[in-house]
Amino acid sequence: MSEPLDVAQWARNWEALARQAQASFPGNANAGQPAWSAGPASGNPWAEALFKSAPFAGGKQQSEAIEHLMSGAQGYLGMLQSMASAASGHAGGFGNLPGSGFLGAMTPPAAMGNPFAAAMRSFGSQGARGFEQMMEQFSAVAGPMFDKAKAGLHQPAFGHLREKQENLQKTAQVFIDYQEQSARYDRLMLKVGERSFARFQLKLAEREEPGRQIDSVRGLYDLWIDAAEEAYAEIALSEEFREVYAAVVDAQMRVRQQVQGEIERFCGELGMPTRSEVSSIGERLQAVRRELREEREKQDELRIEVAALNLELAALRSGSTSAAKSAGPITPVEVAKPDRTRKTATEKAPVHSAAAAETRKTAKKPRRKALSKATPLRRGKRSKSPAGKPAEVAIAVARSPGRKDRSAAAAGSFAASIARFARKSKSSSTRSAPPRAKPKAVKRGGGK
Amino acid sequence: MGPLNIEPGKLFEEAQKFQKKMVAGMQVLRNLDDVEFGVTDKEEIYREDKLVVYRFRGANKPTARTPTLIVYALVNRPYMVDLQEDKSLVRNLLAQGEDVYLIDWGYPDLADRWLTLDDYINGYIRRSVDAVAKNAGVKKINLLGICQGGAFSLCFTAIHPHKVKNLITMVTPVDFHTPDNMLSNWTRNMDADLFVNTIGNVPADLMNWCYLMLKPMRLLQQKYVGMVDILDNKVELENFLRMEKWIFDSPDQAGEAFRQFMRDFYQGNKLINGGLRLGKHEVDLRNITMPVLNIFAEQDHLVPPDASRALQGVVGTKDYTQIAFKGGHIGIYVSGRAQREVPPAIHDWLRARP
Repeated sequence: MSEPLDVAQWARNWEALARQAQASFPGNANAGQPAWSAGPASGNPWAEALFKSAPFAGGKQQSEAIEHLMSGAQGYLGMLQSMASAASGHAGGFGNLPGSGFLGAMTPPAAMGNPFAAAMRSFGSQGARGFEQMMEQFSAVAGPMFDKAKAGLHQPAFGHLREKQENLQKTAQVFIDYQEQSARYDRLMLKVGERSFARFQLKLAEREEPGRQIDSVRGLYDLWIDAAEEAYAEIALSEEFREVYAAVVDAQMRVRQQVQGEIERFCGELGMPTRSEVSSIGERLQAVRRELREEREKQDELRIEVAALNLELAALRSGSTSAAKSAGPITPVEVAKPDRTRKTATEKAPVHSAAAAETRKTAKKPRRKALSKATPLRRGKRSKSPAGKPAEVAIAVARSPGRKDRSAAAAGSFAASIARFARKSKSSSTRSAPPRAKPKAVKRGGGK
Repeated sequence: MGPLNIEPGKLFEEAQKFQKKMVAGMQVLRNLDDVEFGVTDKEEIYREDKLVVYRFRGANKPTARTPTLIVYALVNRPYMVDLQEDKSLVRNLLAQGEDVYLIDWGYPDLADRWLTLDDYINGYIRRSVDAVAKNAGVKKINLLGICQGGAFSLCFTAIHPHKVKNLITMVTPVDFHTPDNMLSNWTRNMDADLFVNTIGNVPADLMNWCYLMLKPMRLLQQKYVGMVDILDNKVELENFLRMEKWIFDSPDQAGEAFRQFMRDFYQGNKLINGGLRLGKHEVDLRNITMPVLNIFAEQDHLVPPDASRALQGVVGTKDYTQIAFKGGHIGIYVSGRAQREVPPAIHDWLRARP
């Protein structure tokens, strides 16, 4: 428990210390005067003096940090200053101030600024600042006019300027709506300020017990932050906030959209491309890229299947039924896809699984042989078929002669692969091949 | 007795100390170089549009047979997992013997305005997973999804379960409608179409401001008052600035993907309620039958713990493990406790599921 203060002595000491403190801030024009007597209550001379003392130039990360630092420190310095003012205005000093008296003098929301109220309109970006400025200008210049004309905004427009008039009415309406929603948001944030203060008082009351008293301004500041955050969270999680927040954001979006529309119309008249046009092109481009990639991936899958079929075919030709079986149906999962970032698909061996690699090894020669027997027509198809290799191989398979005497099991497996391949080929051709190519490939492959 | 026991001398001393620290700090700040981040060696193994997949190289070769791909959120840069030498999830995982890969999404611009979640999840992530599997010579890989990247990893794994051996989610929102989810409360009634149609790609500054507004007094004021305490400590100040850099070095969000994320996840809560479609695929978390490790932070103000806990019971796996970390959304990567606890926990869990 602290001893009762010698009030007169305390006040003299405090005054002297405060002068020293004030004088120690570099660049302070009011040196020698207590900070709290230097100007109107709304200002924060301590913070201002400090900011003057710390000009920070340069584009490095530090300059941003220092900007935040200055902004954040204002609250704390404001509290220091408020406490000093409170103490100097009361004969008993703040050590003996009752909680409510101290709070009345300190007025934290005013001293620290209310970050909530300005939050919605100052999203932090330059673009958002522009929007805020635009709204301020609108309020100052057009606000009173729109208040008077508000009733007339829903009147129908006539004549050759009908569209322009209607557009102006709409513009005015969205601005007014935004102002109204913004005011609702501000009122809610004011409620946060009030509740913060009430909560702060409760927290202070809890600290009246000996041993729990606050012995530093920083401790007090931290307590105020806790109270403010708790009050804010309570409201920010409420249904009311949900509704008001959505309304103000939606209203702001409508204003932006309306302004964008006006700018686009203006740009259009000057023959300049607009954002909508760029966006529209972007949408189409993305759709084309998506389609292209899908087709490429289908081709990759087909290419893999072709490789597998070639292996099976080669094995069948060489009479190695067991090899054909072991080659089995190779699924795309088992086979790594070609890496387009490094090599083209043709540069890469498509088969990676151990079993397939083994089969490839044993069937390498016959496969080459089979390919070398390809007819000119087949070669022609290979390079010209819009459906790509699938169509080519389907034809090649269909034309391979004299292999009807294979075992039933192997033939069944192969036929199933062909059928599967034909289905894929058909669906691929339907999308990408010209009408004439599709039936040709399907007919020949499927006919066999 | 009142609540305050502040002696005048002490107040004066406090004010002077603060002022001196500020003035001295300005000098330190002026002389600091730009901070570096991303400390572990890495090689590029796949690139597509703005996306790059890296493989990290540790001091020793990895002992793990299955590689682990980190899928980070779109809303921040992924170097948070490799921020500095003594704050690196990646480095610690490598030290444990894991083979670590990471997707760097890059910075979307207007060309990416129309990228959908289908493009991200069934496109970019799928091809990245294939690239990692190919690079490592395996059929399946481990996925480690972080925050929004965790939600993406859940979607991906539900659609392509045959490509994922083990799934790890960190601070991942699953139930977006828990009562303590502030972001969800704010976005629930917003007109997502009007929002995206108006602004297109969502600017990073706007996103950052929203995050700051989750705790405005703490993040806009108190944090910087606390910064004064370390202004004369070069190392601490560099750490602080590195974190600042990460917080505000955010990419814009591709408009179309943002629209869908807001509508289907934040508003529709479809990840848990069902009905989420990505392109041709329906996302059904019951398809996730491989082992799942779910790590969340108990003091997370962005993804409340209950939002992550909801994963238990909605996935089809019988091998589900959950770890509650004592810390916040960021602390789970950078705090001293995180360095000691998180990587070994991940490694031990993976080692038991080779």
